[in-house]
Amino acid sequence: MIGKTYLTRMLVAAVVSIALGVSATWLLLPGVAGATTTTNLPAVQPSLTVQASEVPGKAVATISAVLTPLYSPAGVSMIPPGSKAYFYVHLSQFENSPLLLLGSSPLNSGGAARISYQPTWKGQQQVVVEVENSAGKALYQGSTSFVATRFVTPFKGAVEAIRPDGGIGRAVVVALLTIVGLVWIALLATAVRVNLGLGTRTTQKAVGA
Amino acid sequence: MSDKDGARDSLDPTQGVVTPVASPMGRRSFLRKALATGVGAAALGAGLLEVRDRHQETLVGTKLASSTQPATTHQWCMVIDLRYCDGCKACTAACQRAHYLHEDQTWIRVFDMTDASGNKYHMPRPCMMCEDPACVPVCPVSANFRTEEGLTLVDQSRCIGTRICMNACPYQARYFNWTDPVPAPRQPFPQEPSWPVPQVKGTVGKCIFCAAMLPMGKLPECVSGCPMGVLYLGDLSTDVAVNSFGNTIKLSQFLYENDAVKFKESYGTHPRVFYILGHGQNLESDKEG
Amino acid sequence: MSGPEEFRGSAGAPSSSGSTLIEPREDIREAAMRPVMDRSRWWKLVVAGLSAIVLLGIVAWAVQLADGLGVSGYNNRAFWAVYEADLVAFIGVSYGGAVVSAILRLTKASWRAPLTRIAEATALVTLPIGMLFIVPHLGEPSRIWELVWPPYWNLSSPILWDFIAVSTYLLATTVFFYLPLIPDAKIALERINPEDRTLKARTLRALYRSVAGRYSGSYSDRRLLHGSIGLVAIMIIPMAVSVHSVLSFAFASSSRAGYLETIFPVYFVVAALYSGVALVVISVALLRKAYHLEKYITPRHFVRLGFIIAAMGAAYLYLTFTEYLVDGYSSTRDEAAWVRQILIGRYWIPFWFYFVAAGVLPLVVIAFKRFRNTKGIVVASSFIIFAMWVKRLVIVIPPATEALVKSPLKVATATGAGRLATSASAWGTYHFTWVPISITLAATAAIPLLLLVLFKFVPILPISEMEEMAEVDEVIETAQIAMERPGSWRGKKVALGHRGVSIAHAGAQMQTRRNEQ
Repeated sequence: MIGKTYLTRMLVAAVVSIALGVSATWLLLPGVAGATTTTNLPAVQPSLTVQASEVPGKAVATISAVLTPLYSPAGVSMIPPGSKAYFYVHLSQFENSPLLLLGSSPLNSGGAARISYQPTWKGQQQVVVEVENSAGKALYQGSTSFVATRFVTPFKGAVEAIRPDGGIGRAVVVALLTIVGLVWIALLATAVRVNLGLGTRTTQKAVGA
Repeated sequence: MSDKDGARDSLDPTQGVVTPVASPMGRRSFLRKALATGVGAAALGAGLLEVRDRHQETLVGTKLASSTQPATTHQWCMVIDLRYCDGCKACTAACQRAHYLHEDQTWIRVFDMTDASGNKYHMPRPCMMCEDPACVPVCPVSANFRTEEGLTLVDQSRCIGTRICMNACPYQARYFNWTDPVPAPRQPFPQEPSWPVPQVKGTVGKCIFCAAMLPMGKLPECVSGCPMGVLYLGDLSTDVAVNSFGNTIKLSQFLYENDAVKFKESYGTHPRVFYILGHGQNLESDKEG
Repeated sequence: MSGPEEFRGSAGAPSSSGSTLIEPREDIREAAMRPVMDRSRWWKLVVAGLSAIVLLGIVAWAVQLADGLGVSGYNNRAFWAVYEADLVAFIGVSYGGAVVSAILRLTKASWRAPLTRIAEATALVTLPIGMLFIVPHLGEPSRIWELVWPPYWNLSSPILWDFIAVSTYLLATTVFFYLPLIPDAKIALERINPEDRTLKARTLRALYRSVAGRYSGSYSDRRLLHGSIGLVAIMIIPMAVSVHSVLSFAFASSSRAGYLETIFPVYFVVAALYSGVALVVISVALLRKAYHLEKYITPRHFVRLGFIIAAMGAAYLYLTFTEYLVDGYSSTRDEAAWVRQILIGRYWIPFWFYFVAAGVLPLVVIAFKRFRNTKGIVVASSFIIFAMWVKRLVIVIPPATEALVKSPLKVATATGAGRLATSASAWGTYHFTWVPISITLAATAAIPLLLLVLFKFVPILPISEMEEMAEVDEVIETAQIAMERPGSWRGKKVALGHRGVSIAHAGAQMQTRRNEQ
């Protein structure tokens, strides 16, 4: 008897959760584009389905995760109270691709959580979602990746370098080089002028000579 | 004016006896020629600047191309969380080991400081990778340059060792090779500004943020060598920073939430190293030990 | 400009007798060519001794080249020290020649004539020596060519402009030495026996012939020459000022407390002038003694140079006071550190040595008649040269060795200053070793060495210039007499001999008076 009710409940729960999961996905994520991978935890474990996609035309992506099934066959909720879904992205620019926490969200009654994420770099983004209990222990994990075609960076560019002259130096340098050039020319010209000029006017009234 | 006076000075006894003679090249024509040559000199000066600039561009261009892969986005920076630094100097040791430096060449140096309430704290100081560096414009032979990724590097194959950059740096972050460098085995990278190993005697060296390792996704030696996770390598562009624990932070948020400061901001160098201070700590504190 | 008219009016009288352009003065010619003709042993001995010292410097430099700048006491906390001070000091002393010659020329101080050649030669000789200090200063001197390779030039670098400015100044000094030499070469050529077939005689003849060129001694030649010399004299003064200013920019254009001083350009120019005139005094005194030129270079010359020295010394003292007062008074943390270190801290001995030896002493020497003589002024000048070199060390080393990462809690105080010392060294983190001392000594020895060698080829007195001022000799003799009778008002007038009062005029009058007695 107990077994029968148990089975029935499990069946109902499974159907409901799948239905909820699918509908939640459809409701929450119009236009799912990202490839989906599912981390299969041990058979008794439910699976966390992660989906991520860029909002068309915007530098924003939504990442959602749905846990299925929500209840154990015995009807026990698979989400302990206080647990949350943590969203991460892999930093592919580093060798050990550490995870950057993007945010967290409690799972709703349908077992789903969603955040929106502003990519700060272009290209393949591997996101990881982890459901952790209140003690911080990871219960379920799922991941996916998508390609960010748009991104927003808080970096506004380096300051404009004002050393050494704040932008007026070029004119100063040209002026100074001109002066230096003139000095060189004047000095050399004086020497040459003396050399060429000497002895050319001996016809002058040679006074006292 | 001078001409006449000078002549009169020494030739006074004959003044009035001999009629003045025109100089072989008339003064006016001389001045005119001088003016023309002056214009020529100005043009030459401007031309020299052009040549210099073009040369500089190719220099930076090649240096960049050989040391970076994606060539665009990264804007390297560093975050130093003073709250957790225990002054073990493992960063300095890791740096000196990797770059084969002498003991006095502390490219990243840990200063022992005293805060306003008299407590000790420690302050690592790498190169600040200033956005408007004081060291770059002073080099007479353009051996200093700043890459597109915001790294200030030294071309040791060009440096002539005037040390005026050591004078210019307000952070004392530049070090000279006063003697023969520590011999280094064959390196994975060629000896170039992004990996100046071994050092070159008679030239200036400084922290490079391990520029050659960054494109390979490796953290700088000091960052990965810090047992306390104090040092973070950051990328202003992707807005992330990572420390030796693999702790990854959202850079802008972290700096904002922890009231990050820069060292000697009044010098107008716009450093790219951010310090997170604890209670009572203060960057201008104490002399070194 | 009352000068020229007065001059014309007054000088007209003594020379009214004839239309003689130039009367050859055998005594001047002989004296001027004395070093060239001289065959005495002492010259060889002295040159050999000085060469040995120079050689020692070259050996020291070779050692430094092999082992790196570390052997010269440098380290990362003392990145600039003795070579940079040497560079400033030696380029600085070359200024003296420009002053004595150019300024006195332009201000028509006719008493200058016997000094000009030695002064110009001192400038010509010390400038390359100063420039050569770039070589030991550089870490990688084999790449020094990069400084003249335009594609590598960074025209925003103070050091590159140093190089440009000093090179330009070297050209000017050379031209300034060359032009007055032209007529003298002509005269000197006549004094070499054409029958003499020795190598020396042939070399000298070739040299004089090439320098003299087509110079004929005609009026137009003289006029052209004098005009050109006047032009270069005018150019060389602003150039010398700008050169020393640019040198100071290498220090002043940094953010380092103690270097970032707007007073530096003026400071460096005055210091250069000061030590430069002192060096002229010493080289004039030594050469005068060596070649017995007492007849032409009189105590009067030394006293006059002494007045220039005193004026410069006072100006420099004033600038030093100003610099330390404002920095010490405001005492922002970094300024306080180095000012106190200099005045009462680690560097107090060198600083107060400067103060006594080059600040007070010259003024005392000039102020008291007892000391205001050749001996006093030469002694003062020797102290000035050394003390100004020490002062350059005080300028260069303390800011360079100062820690830039330090505390507001531990400002150097009167009592704490000494404690800040990291070692017993008097120069902070810089330690003198035998290498820079040898190189500096070698450079110092090179000055008399090069002068002695130069005057083996070049007349030591500007023959033509002195002959042109035919009366001036007599005037100087008269002035000497006037000096012996200090009470004489006219004597004083002649002694001061500044531009307005024509020496020729005063001299003629003195002569008359003397005859009357």
